[in-house]
Amino acid sequence: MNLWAIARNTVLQAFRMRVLAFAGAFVLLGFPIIVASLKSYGSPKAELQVVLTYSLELVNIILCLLTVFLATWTLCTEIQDRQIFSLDTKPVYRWQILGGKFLGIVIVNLILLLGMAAPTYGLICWQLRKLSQEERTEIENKLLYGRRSVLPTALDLNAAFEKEMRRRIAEGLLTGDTPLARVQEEVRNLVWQRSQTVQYGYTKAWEFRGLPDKQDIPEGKSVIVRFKIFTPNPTLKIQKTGSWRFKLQDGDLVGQTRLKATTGVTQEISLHRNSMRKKGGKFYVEYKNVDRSRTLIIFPINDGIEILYPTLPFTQNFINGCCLILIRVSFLAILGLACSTFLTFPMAITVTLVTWVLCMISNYMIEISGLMLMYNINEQRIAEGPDWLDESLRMYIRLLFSAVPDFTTYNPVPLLTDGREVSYSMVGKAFFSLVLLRGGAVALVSGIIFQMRELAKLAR
Amino acid sequence: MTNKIPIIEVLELSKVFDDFWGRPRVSALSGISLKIEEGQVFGLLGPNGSGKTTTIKILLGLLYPTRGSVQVFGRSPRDVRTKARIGYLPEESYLYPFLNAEETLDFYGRLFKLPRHQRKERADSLLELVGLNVERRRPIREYSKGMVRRIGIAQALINDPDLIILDEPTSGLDPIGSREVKDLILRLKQRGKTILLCSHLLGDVEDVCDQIAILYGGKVRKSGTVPELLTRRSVTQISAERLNEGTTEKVLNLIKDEEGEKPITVDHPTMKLESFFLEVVQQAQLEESDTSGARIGEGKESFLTEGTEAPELSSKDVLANLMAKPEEPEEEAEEEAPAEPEVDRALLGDLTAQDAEEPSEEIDGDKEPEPDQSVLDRLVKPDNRKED
Repeated sequence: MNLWAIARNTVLQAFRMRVLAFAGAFVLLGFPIIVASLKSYGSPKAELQVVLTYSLELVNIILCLLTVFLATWTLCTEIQDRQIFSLDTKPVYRWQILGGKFLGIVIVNLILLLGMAAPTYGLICWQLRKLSQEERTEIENKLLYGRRSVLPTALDLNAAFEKEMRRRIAEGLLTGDTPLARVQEEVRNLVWQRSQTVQYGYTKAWEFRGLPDKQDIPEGKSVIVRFKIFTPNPTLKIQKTGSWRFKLQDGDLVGQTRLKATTGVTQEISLHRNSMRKKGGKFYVEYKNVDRSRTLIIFPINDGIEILYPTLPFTQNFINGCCLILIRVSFLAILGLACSTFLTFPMAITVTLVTWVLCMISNYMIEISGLMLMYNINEQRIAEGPDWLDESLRMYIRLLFSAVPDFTTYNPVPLLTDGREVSYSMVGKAFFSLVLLRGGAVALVSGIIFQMRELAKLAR
Repeated sequence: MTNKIPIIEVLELSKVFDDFWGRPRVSALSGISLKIEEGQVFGLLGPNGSGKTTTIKILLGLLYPTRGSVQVFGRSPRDVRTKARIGYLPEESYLYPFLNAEETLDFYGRLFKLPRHQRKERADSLLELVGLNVERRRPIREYSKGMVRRIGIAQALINDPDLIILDEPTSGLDPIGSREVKDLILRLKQRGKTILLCSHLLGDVEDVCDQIAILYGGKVRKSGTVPELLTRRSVTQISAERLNEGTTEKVLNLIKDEEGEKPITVDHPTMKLESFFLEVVQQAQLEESDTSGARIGEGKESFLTEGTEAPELSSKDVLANLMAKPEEPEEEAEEEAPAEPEVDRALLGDLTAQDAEEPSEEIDGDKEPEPDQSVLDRLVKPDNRKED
């Protein structure tokens, strides 16, 4: 009951300090701008992508900022203005004060999220109603239905590296003039490049596992093979012809096509649901470079090719996306309250905002942490290998950013605008990672600090 | 009285405030011991920085003791079972300005897990009691100081507490409001409630308290029942209906000759509480006790009447001088001395001047800085006058 009483008080506090009016003003100002900008995007799919991107990002940012402000403000001012004296002298545990405030902020966020996401959903439905049946079906297939991605089985680059090194040794190509570490680096780069390039007249094949059976794919929906190609000159946007073949595990050909694809642009090939015949079975995609210009074709490692199959209707996918937004702001609420247990308002809000920024770049920082230290590597350093300082620094960066929640992975906006599934398991993982694991650790530490704190002494 | 159950037991309580690095900065309490029994109205008196509010905050679990033990209802003050039996009115009613009176009482009632109908009943009767029934729907931010004080009193009583801790309960109230509060305290006492009252208004304390303790420099200087403390046993007082001169002379002669027949009532005379309070504080100052608050200064009057013969001041004048700001304060004093609220002396009559809040608990806050002891010393000590 105490938890609920404090939560209720926090909700009242939030709304009576005009939080609702603030958020409402943003919606009222923002949505007309989004609607007005739709006309300039040409295709209905692009228009809907703009609606989803702009409106959900707007909701995301407003909620994050409001949460950071509200979480730090509600506790800091209560301590600063000493209303906490009246609260703490009642039969209330201190964890109930923190828990009640957290619950209140989550309720406020839920109300605001509903209030801001509903117009977005309404806008999408309104846009759809204006389209023809054909356009609507296509958009539902390619954008609105949440699709699960299956990536090709990763190539064993180590095996290819070893094979190439053995070949060079066998052919006497290692003269001893070049340091071994340098040769290894060159061979690694070569193997890496070969794995993603197709020369004229050659065929590249990918193996996919874990695709569904046709029974698992809704009637009228198709499976999409999505790919992107480049040429050695990535700035050029030109069309390149390739021949595509799709095979099952037993070698049965289920489809083939020859098409011109523009470089640097994501392309999609639709396959009928009947192409999927065995749940979890292997599926092969082959690409043959048949372009007469004889240019080398490059498939980027990360988003070179993937197969997408429909899993979640738009409404469910959209709700899951909103859940991710709520989970992210819940972590910020925990963090803001935690900072407020021992810092004054200006410090607490600054620390929370900085952590929010770190959360948004943590994934990127971890990815580049290995590369960051290579800038200073010279011939001698390569020969000697990384020293303890390099290793320690890299470990420190990785540890620091691993401790910070990864907001990028759990950002629903790129997923929804790309017609990808925001799965229940992703929502569950986000809840575990952000709220239970990291949020729980932060809450535990701050709870102990708050319990030990003499509330009649002001924070420094 | 000694057989009664102790509600509050404080033993050798000390409190030292540390700075950021953990070094001791201010000693607010130095080994005080108190025992407050069931049904008592106990007054805690002392000048600024004497440790009254620190004591109260430790009793409420808002501050933790450095040394010594504190038990309220036989348990730690931080135990929620203890808090469930306490009603607390802070020195300023720290309430939520966005709530109205009704919502405020409902919120605090919820924290005591009172059922809805009970919250409603108690809120209605308490709002009636403090005279805010008509204004119950107005947000507290729109209330006057006196109205906020009244709703503060109401929230302190929402749980029908066994122990009521009132920090300056009449502060901000008009004389009628003050009288009502004092009547309320007496009514609560009749109902067997235990009350701890902390006030600068000595008249208030004298009117309602059974027992008092006077703090100075973080120590209990005197404690006991009000009659005990105010009785001057070195003097015998004879009271009677108005007598003519002849009769009085005869009585005096008679008493002088022989202390036989006594058809008259003989009683012990009492001094005013405020005189006694000043005496205790002045005695403490003669002992050069440390205090983090303002000092009562025999040098104050000398400083103000430099070059002239200092007139003998009454206790009221001395208090008034003490609480008044220096006419030309030094820059340092202006920056660091706590703000003194204006005193309506006409209203307060023969009561002492109201003074600022105790700064000792707020050692790290900007709002109520610690008074600069050196400046105060220069103002009140005659020796320093030459330096000035």
